[in-house]
Amino acid sequence: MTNPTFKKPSQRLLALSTAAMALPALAPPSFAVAPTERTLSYRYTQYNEMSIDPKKVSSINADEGGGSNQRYDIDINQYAFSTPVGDHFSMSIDIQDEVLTGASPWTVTKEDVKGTPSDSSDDEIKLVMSGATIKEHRTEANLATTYYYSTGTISGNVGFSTEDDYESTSAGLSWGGEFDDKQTGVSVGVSYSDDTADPEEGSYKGTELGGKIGGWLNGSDPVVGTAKKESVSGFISGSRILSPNWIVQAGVSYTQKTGHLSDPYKANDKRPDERNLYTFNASSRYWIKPIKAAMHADYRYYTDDWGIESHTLSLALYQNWQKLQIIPSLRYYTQTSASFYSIADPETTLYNYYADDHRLSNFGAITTGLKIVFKQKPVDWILSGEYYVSGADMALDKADEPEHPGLLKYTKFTFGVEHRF
Amino acid sequence: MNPKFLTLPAVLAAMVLLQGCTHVAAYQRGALAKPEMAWSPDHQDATLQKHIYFAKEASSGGAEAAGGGCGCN
Amino acid sequence: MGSPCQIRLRASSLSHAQALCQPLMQEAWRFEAKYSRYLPTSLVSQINASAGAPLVLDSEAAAIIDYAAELYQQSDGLFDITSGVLRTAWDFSSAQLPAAQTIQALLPNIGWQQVDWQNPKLLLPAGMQIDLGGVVKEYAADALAQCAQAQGIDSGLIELGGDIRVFGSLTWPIGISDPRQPSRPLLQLTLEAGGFATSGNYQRYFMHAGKRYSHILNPKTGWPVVTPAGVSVIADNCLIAGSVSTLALLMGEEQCLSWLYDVGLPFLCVFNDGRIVNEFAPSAN
Repeated sequence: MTNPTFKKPSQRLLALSTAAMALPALAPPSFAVAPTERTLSYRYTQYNEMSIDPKKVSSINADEGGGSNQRYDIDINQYAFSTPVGDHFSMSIDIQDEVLTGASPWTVTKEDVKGTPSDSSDDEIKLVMSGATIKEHRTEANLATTYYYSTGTISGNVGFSTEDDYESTSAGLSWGGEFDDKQTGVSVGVSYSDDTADPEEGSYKGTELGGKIGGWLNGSDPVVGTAKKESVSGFISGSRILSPNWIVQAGVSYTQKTGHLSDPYKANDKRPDERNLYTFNASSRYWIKPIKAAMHADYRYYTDDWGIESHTLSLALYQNWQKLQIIPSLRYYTQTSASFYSIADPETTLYNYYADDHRLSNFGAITTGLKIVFKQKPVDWILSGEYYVSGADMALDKADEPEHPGLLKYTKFTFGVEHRF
Repeated sequence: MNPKFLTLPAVLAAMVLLQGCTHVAAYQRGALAKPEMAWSPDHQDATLQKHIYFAKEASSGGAEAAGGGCGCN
Repeated sequence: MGSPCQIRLRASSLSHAQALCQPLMQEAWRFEAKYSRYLPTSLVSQINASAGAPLVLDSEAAAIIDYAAELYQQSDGLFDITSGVLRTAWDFSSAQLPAAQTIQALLPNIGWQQVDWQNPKLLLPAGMQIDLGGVVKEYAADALAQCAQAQGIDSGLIELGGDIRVFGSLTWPIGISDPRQPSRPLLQLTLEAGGFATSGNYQRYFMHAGKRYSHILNPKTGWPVVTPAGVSVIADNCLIAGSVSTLALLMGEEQCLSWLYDVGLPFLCVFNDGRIVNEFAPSAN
């Protein structure tokens, strides 16, 4: 026989239930409950981008030490600590420290089979790469605090990131409230970030390639002194418990970025000094009782005034099995290109803006991942691996342009440990 | 801004905010409280993912407060 | 508590479950020590001995009194924790009807409306007594369940004298006996999470001139209510289940069905003539 389920309670029952909820043992579990334990956690990640097919790399700047076909390898260490503070507060610190080596794409060029610059549309577009001498060290720290009260939370966070030639500061504030017997949640927040770049190391210096590149060379957006940019963002989201096993959420956000938005490390790059973007997201968490697994589904839509529109769909299954949790995951991503992006026909770009960055091209990407968690209270051990591939033919809306040779594949392996006490 | 951008959120908002049509009693919410049912069960993993996709793809930003940036290329 | 109790737990290890039984039983005894009217050191006894002096209650006791006050409202005064003094008039073991004057003399000392309750201050007029019997046992079952869950117990059943609270991912079998013949099982059902309580007139009653006088007394008249033989209710938690079944009994045989339908929870009602109304669920057998 089944339990009473979703009948709307009568007035009498509602009155009794409300009075009962005042009793300590019957207060309903809420979205916002101050944590009762401290967590200390560490992750080590090895991120490796696959080398480019040497046939896709131009040797036009090989004499100057460029033309490497190696891409990024990053070693990342993450540390996190979170703790309740009294009955109504919690605090957390997150530190991320990474070391990056590898070469980056400066621009593209057209060459014939002999490696001679050409203008012909029959010839291949190749990447002009920097030398593989870049080694960067970046450290990021984030401090967050949350206040828990009877029907919601207020959270604030500040962050700071620094590397050889780049610094970023950020801050955010958000509020979350609970309604209708804590079945509905609403969340609102704003955030701000400020970046300063002083590009020297590894950045392109226009004179090196002048005259050698086949096709075009418009030059980069000159940086006088330091390059600054700012970002202001706001979001609203709502969540709802639909059944004992199902909770959903949806939200929208708006962000405005201003300042030097061009990429100072690229040879051909001049972007508008403002970007307005909007996102819409929907998420579902569903508990599949017969197999004791949680099904995660997340969708995100993005659009901005640079002409880029993207869709992201992520799925994951958190499967419990004895002392393990096995989590396979899949992500599909597709984006359209920026209106001023071009590698095939540079003269068609708009408003004197142009970019040949592969990240602004039309492409799709698929990530497959597997994570395994060993639960051994009070310590959890985590092992995960992920594989990412991208390509122009994987996009939902295929563009009438050749694929950017810089679209990449990477693998990511993580080992972690989490201690609760 | 693309106008069709708002129709899906409007429909979902209506569904999400449909109050009073079902009531899930407090004691029935045990499954929802499991850590694997959280929006983000692994905070460090989520932070790293966001950072990587920010550096490799064009569409950053979303429901959470914006984090810091980097000179990633 | 005066009635048989049981705690059944299911956890990931036997030792974990066993380690938890003792603290849970201690928690049950804590409730008894604090709220039993029989123990002179209990809070309830202190309140009953206060002789008109105000007392400040702790948050748990205050919440229980608030809840009892709500039950008084919901039952239009039939559920009244100040009606305990009537037991001095009614002796259910002797089957003797008390004299009308005896009952009349007690009535002025009954009536929640006379109590000055401003959370957390309670002022019980001299001569009045409170009895939390219809509330604490059920709440204790819920409190024990919450305590077990907080300790990581996967699933369990807490039973304190017929008031049951079930939690977790297992289903637990529950048997209901025929209120008119307690040794005979009437119905078997399984409950996965929630509270189950039964109120009936079969435990304490006496027969007089062919009429069955239950131990449930009407605080306004001082006389027993002609209650149905038994009412069992399933609710979110044991406190609500117990309150609704007790209130249904207080409504009497005539009104209990319409009241139960109005509340809207699954229930089973057995009448004195043997008629059974089963509103648990279509699939119950």
